[in-house]
Amino acid sequence: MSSLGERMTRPREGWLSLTLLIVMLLSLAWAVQAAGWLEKSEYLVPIALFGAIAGALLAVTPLSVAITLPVSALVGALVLVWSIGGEYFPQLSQVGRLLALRAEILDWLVALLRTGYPSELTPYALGLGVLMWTTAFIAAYTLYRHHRLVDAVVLVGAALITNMSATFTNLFGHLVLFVAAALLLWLRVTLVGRQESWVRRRVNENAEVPAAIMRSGILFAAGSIVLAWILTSVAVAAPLTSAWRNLDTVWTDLRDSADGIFGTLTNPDSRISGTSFGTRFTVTGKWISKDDVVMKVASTKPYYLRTATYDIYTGRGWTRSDGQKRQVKPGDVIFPTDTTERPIAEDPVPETVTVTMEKAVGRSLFAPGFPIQVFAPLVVYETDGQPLIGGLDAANAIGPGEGYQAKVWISHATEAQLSGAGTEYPKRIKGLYLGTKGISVQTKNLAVQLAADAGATDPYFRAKALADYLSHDTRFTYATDAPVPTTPGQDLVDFFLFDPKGQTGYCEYYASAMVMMARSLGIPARMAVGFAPGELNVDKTFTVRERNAHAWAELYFPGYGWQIFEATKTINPEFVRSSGGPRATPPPLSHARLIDLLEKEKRGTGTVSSLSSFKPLEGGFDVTTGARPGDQERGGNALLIVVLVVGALGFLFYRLRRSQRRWRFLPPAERAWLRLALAADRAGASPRASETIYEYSGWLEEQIPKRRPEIRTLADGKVWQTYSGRSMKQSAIERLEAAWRRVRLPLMWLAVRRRMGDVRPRRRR
Amino acid sequence: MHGLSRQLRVVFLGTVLVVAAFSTGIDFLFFLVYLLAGLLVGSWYFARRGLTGVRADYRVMNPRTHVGELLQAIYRIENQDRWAKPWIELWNESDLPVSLPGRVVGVQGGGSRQWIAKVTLTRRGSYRLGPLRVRTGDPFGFFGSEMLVGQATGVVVFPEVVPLPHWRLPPSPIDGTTPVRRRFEASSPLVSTVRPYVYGDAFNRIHWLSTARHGELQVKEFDLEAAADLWIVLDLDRSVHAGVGPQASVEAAVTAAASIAVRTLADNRSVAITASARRLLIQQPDRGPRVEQKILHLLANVQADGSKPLAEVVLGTLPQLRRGMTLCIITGSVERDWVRAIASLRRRGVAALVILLDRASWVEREPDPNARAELTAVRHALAEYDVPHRLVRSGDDLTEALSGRERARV
Repeated sequence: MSSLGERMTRPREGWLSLTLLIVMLLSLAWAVQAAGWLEKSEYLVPIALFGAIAGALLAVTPLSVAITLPVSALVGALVLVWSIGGEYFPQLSQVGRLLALRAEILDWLVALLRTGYPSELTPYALGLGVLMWTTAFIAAYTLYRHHRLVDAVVLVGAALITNMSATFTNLFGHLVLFVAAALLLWLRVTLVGRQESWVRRRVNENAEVPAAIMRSGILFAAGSIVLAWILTSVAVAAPLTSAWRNLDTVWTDLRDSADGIFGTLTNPDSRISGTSFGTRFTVTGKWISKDDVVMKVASTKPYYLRTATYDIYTGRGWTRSDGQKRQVKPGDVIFPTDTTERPIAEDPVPETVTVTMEKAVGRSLFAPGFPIQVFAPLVVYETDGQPLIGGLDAANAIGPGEGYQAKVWISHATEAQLSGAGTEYPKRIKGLYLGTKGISVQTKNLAVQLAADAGATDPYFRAKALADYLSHDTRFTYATDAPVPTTPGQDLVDFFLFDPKGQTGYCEYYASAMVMMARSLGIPARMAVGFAPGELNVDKTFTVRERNAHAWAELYFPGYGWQIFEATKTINPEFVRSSGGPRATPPPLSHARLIDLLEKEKRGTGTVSSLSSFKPLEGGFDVTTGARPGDQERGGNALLIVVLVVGALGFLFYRLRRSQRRWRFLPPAERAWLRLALAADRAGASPRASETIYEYSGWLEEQIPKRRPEIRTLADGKVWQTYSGRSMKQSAIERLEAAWRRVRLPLMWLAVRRRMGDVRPRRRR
Repeated sequence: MHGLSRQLRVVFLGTVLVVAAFSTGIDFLFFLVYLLAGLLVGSWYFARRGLTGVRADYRVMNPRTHVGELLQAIYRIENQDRWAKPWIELWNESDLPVSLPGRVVGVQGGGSRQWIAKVTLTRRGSYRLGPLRVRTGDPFGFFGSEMLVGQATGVVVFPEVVPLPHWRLPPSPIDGTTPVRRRFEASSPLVSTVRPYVYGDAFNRIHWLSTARHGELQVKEFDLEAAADLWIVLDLDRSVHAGVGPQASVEAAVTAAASIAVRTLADNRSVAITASARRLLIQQPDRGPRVEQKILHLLANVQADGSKPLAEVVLGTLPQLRRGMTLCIITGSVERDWVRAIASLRRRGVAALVILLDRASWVEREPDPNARAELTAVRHALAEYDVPHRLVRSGDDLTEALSGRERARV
């Protein structure tokens, strides 16, 4: 056992290994930063650095684990407070940072327990910091104490891959950096192990050997990285995706259950969650609005693209009644039965819209109006288990450049039609969308007052009066940074409508007020989220940006389904309802009418608006061409396979030519015998130097008794050729060739049996 | 995962990556899959190619040598391949206490290397130096290639032989006038004097020149200060030896036996040996270098694993002793019955010498207080029968101790 001083100054793996490990950890830290889970995450770098150093130092000391772990926790806590506190509370002292962190964690816990929607970010920063410290410490400790290289590499690599898998941000450079450092570390630790083994076995190494091994290893690793890079660019496919389809529901359940805790982390590039389009949302008072392009949409008109609806108002946000998730295969009718989503009073005029995501927003799938079919794997969230759209998600995360097509039915109901729709709401609608729990009396009174002031007598015009009031009244101000109720229990809508400190907000404020006031007037309403229409391009498509993310109110009208009511100030609705048309209450839906509608829905695709660069997402297809994703990749794969097969054939041909060249000038019997000996050698049955030809052939005959005559023929030929000194006749040569052909396969089988351990190899004497 | 080998972990990791990549189609997972595949395939080929065109050989220069000397072997490796070999490991497996050092060398394409490996031999015995193992592998340690070259070689390490410049065999108790019926290959040249003839003297001992000078019959007297032959009895009864490893009393006994035998053979005398190991090993009296090799080979492989009492061994050996011989007993036994057995030798004209090992001095723990008294008793018994002896203790210089010149210790 070497002394402590020696171990500290010259640990087994050397300090260069720690440098490489730190590079791996830094690539992880930088990758987490680049993924943008938190706006402030510079602290991860020092944590990774100090974690690795602490792990290595404690590993080389003779301290037991029982002491090492508490010391690590203590040092880690100090580093975390110093680094995270320094970034989030730079103006405070170290003690102040500790107290501030403590206060935020307590607030976060209280908010999580009370509302389920905490808004503090430092607990997440702390969580990431703890994970980073733990990873760095364990990796270094494992490497230096237990000399387990694979565990250290796998731990850091798994963290990096998890991070990369959870985001669409391109982190390839970080991975390459990690891989390069990991391979160098692997090389070095393997060399150290070898050198130890040599010392143990009294094998002296020449001075140039370590450098030669490292040099060849580095060249080899660099070549492998380049090759892998090239192959990745030409051959990527996912043939096993369908095998995991059944687990998708489990995953989405898990994701939704964690949505309350991690919903505050708004990473737009996340693969695992969308931008506030989960099963619930809380009005936080801040609306992050960027100009980044989210999607390109091809449709005949500008539409509101809905992805989720909410029926329960929580006083600070919205949530959805528990329901069920239903998977719908690409191209299947989403609602093959009666649903209140369907505008049955109108004749269906379906159209197919095409959406291509320019930026990842998780799995949320956006569609206007009443979606009939989606030509991609779909998961429908049905509110309260009823055939009602609670949310639309793609079964797989939609990456940038991927898209889908949806056949939708857009209602063209006129004001007169909606005005005459009546109030015969279906029971399920009344049960879910008329709740006014938490709404103050003054809100109800305001709604009644506004309707009365407008002289509206039917639901449509009463709702229109509410929307006009919210969108035009000068008391309300549109702002993306708006106040939220500070008094515990204060209602958001009440705060927005009446509190002098309120009356400022963005779409979620306006839409919440609109929905709750409509409900107080007895009109079924729900909150819908998605994107407002984007900019019209010259090619008649629409560019939707992040700032178009929107929340709006949808009110229900019997026979006409859910109608959008835009109440947000500064948002100019892109649609105008015509006022004409008969004012008549639509008849109730008969069975024959339903059958007729379903038939019409299934028939054709309607007007298809397509995008030139449309690429269906995994599992989906293009309704115009029938092309499926992976076709190009499959082409790439086929090319790769052809290249590999041609390469393999070329290699075989080269080897064959080489062996033929080598044997070309040998006499026929000599050649046949040499072939036999080589084949037998592969089977572990090569002739011994001390054996005569007949001794060896006799032994071989015992191994392959069925080919006894052929082996004897080959042996006779060899002996005859060696001792006669004469040329062999053509008939004899042919006999030899035939014998060789017959004995070739049994020898190959002998080689296989030897590989399987069925035959013991012949020991050399 | 702890118990899994590194290769198995890599295979497990690769399987997980392949399933994940083909399930998700994520490009960086494919990058890792391709990288791992490239590394594994490349490593396999690297390792496989590593010994292509490599020729290696070794030769032990002195397969029979003594403890304390160097065992030397010449190694040679040649790379007939075009590719350089970054590292090739060569070593012999052996059961030597300290094996011959192997070597890791890099060999250029078409190049060769040669070197001599040496190791100091510390233990006597017969050892096996296995065939030359030539091994290489890929830089990442996934795969390895190995080949065996040549055949196993036997190495015999003879016991250490100390110089005995002052060694003298005890004089034989005969005067040299008694005709010896046995045919000697060489008659003794050591005529010391002449004396008048008495009845019974052999006629062939009459010195005619002196007879003529004195006018009466004179016969030669031979000086038989040294006996003609030496018979060594090496007591390997496990109960009379102590200590372990190179510091055991049996090593001192074997070294003493080897040194005495070599010294005596160097004087062109016949030497025989009886070793009472697990089996009774007997080398009949003979002389010459071949006998020396036989005796040293025998002594190289004996251990203190016998169970036969020395008295029994001596009694078994006595019939084979001839007049004029010297019996040399090397033992650590403090039993006195064997002393009585050799007491009769004087009458038979056989000299005796005892190399007595002080067994207690090799005992690491506190020695038995009776041991010294027993040893003294044996020495007294030997003195009583006028049998010369040399006392050897642990740590003694054998050259001095066997010559009887050691400083007396109380």
